[in-house]
Amino acid sequence: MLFSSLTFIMIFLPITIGLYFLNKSRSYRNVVLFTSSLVFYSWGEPTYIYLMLFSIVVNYVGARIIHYYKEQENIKMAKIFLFISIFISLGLLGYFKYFNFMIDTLNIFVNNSLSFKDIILPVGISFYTFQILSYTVDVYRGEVGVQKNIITLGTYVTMFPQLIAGPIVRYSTIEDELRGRQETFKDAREGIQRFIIGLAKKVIIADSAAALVVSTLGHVGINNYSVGTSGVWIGALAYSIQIYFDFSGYSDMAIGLGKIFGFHFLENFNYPYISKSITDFWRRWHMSLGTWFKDYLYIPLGGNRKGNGRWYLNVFIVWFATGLWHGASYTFILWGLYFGVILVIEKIVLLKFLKKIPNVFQHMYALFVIVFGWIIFSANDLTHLSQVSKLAFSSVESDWTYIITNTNNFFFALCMIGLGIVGSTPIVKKCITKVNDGKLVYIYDFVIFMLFVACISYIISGSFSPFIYFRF
Amino acid sequence: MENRNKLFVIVFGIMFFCLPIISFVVQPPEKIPSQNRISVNISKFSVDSYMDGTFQTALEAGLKDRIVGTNKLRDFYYNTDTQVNLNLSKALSKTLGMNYVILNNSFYYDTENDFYNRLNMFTSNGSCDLQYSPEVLNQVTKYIEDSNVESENVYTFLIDRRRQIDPITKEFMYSKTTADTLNNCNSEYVKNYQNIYNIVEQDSYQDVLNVMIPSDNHWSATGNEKGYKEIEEVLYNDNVISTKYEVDKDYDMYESTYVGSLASRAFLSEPSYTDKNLKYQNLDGTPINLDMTYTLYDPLDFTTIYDWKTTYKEFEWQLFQNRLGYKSDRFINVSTNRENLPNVLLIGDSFDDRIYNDIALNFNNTTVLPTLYSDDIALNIEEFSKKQGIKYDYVIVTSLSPIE
Repeated sequence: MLFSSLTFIMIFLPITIGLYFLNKSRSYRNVVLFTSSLVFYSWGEPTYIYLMLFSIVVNYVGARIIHYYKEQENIKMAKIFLFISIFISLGLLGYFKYFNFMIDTLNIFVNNSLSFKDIILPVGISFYTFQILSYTVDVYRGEVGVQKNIITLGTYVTMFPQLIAGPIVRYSTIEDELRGRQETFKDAREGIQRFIIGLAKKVIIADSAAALVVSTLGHVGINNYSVGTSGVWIGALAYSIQIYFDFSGYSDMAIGLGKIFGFHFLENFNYPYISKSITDFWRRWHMSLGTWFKDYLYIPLGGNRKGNGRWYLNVFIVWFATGLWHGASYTFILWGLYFGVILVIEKIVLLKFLKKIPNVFQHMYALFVIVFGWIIFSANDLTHLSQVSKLAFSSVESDWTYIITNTNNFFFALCMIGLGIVGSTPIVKKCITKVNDGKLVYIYDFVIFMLFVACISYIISGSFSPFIYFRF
Repeated sequence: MENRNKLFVIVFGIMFFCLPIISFVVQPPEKIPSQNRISVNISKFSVDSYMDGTFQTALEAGLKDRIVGTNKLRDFYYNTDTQVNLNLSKALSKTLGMNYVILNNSFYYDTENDFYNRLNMFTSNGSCDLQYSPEVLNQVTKYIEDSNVESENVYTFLIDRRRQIDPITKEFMYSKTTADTLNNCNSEYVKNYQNIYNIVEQDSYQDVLNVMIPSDNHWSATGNEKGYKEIEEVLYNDNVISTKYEVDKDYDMYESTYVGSLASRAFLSEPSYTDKNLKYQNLDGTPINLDMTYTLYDPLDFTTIYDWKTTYKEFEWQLFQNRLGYKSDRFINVSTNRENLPNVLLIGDSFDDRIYNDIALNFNNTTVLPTLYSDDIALNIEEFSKKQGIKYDYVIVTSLSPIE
């Protein structure tokens, strides 16, 4: 189920909120959240709900056994069960997400003799697998207590606001709130506002920018000479706005919904496009994924404490995994490694240099690297990437008539991209804070209401547009 | 502050809860005028439909039509998009010193009145009536005059396109038929040429269901076959063709009930059918091979009232193509390699897409050209044919349709 669907807004959400607040018992409220989350998930994936439940049971049992052996101070057995839990969870992810990719890769060496399997990627598997792994590993590390109530654990894993496209919420973040939380009017108000703002980011800005992406990057390979060089870069800019507003819009909605139910998820974005370097960018973009890889892969591998050679290898592994996490495709791997290489270069030499040059050049450098990164990320395959890259670094004149006539509502898309650029900076937030704290507060509330009406009109009139991060 | 929080939550809470309740209590609109279709009902739940996801999709579609104020909200969306696009494109055109506007898959000359005419060209606007586009008539007349074919060798077929049907009343939204409209217009072409036939007449809603696809305004597989048979009959009776071929068309039909002539825009029902088994053969059973050639136009073959080659340096071919109408970038030649048969020039639009092969069965060479939608563009048939080596003994206008 999509947050930007009427089924969610008109049926699912009112019923869930109604049932939730009808009873004051904490455990009952968790049961409401758990069951409604299962309905939410099964709405789009009726077949694979068993897979998610299986994953919960495996990690619930695994964590309890690990905890038992830790109490017995039998670290070896705890480690074995940790390994088994991780193996099963990652095994499911590997099979459903990467099996056919592996076959495709192996076929290069065995002359296409291996056959593919008809596997459909379960929605949100990358997100919930990483969430549940963080719980099991943290239990092993002794950083969180073991959860004895499977419904409570299930509520954590399946909680519908963040189930399908993040942010990746650590168990430690909401451990206390799962047991006892305080739902307040203040949180509810902020949550509703955050949800509507996220909805507007998605349906008004991201979806409008998408139209320009289709007619530029999407047309490379079909009509290279019409798209031209400036067309590719405008398309890449449009994609940068689309993916940011799509994904951060989803995160806003997730955080907002969490607040309504009394949960406080950590922020997932912090104005990534105002970064001055790529190191800075990755501290601001999809922060929950970055910190997950840091805490559960990079540091266990040794981080930068074991010499330069090992550090290079660790960085390579982490960014290879980051790319692969996004999808079973060479372009995603390349995208991950691209950032890995740039981060190493920055750490060794570039950051020192960047600090010496004016801010504006630092921003320009970072934006160029980020936008080109999105070109890699958005490519359908390596052939498409090669075509787009060649065009991006050549001087083919763009046929703007072709681009305009092939873009649905070109000028509106352009407006929304302009709005997106402004919205990617803290300017809007500063204005909102000023209005929200002053006497104009009711005007802000009215604007939120109008934004909600506008979103509904876009939802019912526009065509189907799933979130980009759903496929991960 | 706490009071403000409470007030906000209560107001939005009421809205969140009342919106679905009111939407389900209040009678939903019967019709979605912006797409000229009946509104979608909320579908019934079944385990099978839930498991395969069709229930979820249908529910979402039903909710979109049922939500209170759905038509006003749609109008808000379309108006906002149109106004932003229109004003920005006008401003840009002026800045660049152009006298045309580019908008949504098309472009428009002379930023004022012409824009509005063309914007409404393919939009249902309620109870307006059919109007023959003078541009189309002028172009067809010019085609025929330039072709130097004897008038008795020119055949024009009108397709009845009282196509906008009110999905509620099942009444035609236009009172006149295509033939009525044509008879009342002052076209020299109509007055001077003789072989004009009205094919596949549709006098009732049921007639339309029989020949049109359910969510668009084109012929269905049945309509195509019927249309072709009527053309064949006319040509056979005039001894233009000597054989009535049996065309073995095994259609895969996915047609359902009529949902509205513009419903395909809402992606609610995708009209589709495929020819599973398309075979052409002589009466003795030997196959007839159709050699198809697609040739891109040379932009220089076309002339316009605007000297675009010198005046509008930025006037690109892509822009120009939009003025040509259907089959805008290439023309088609179908050859059966039977030199004892005559050659024919077909002029038409999307209606002849699925019948030109059938017509070509009866001729040696068949050339398919588009009906031009604008009278500021011309294609000199005589010169064009000489250049491309096109020969024809007959000219057939397969679909002379009004544009409402």
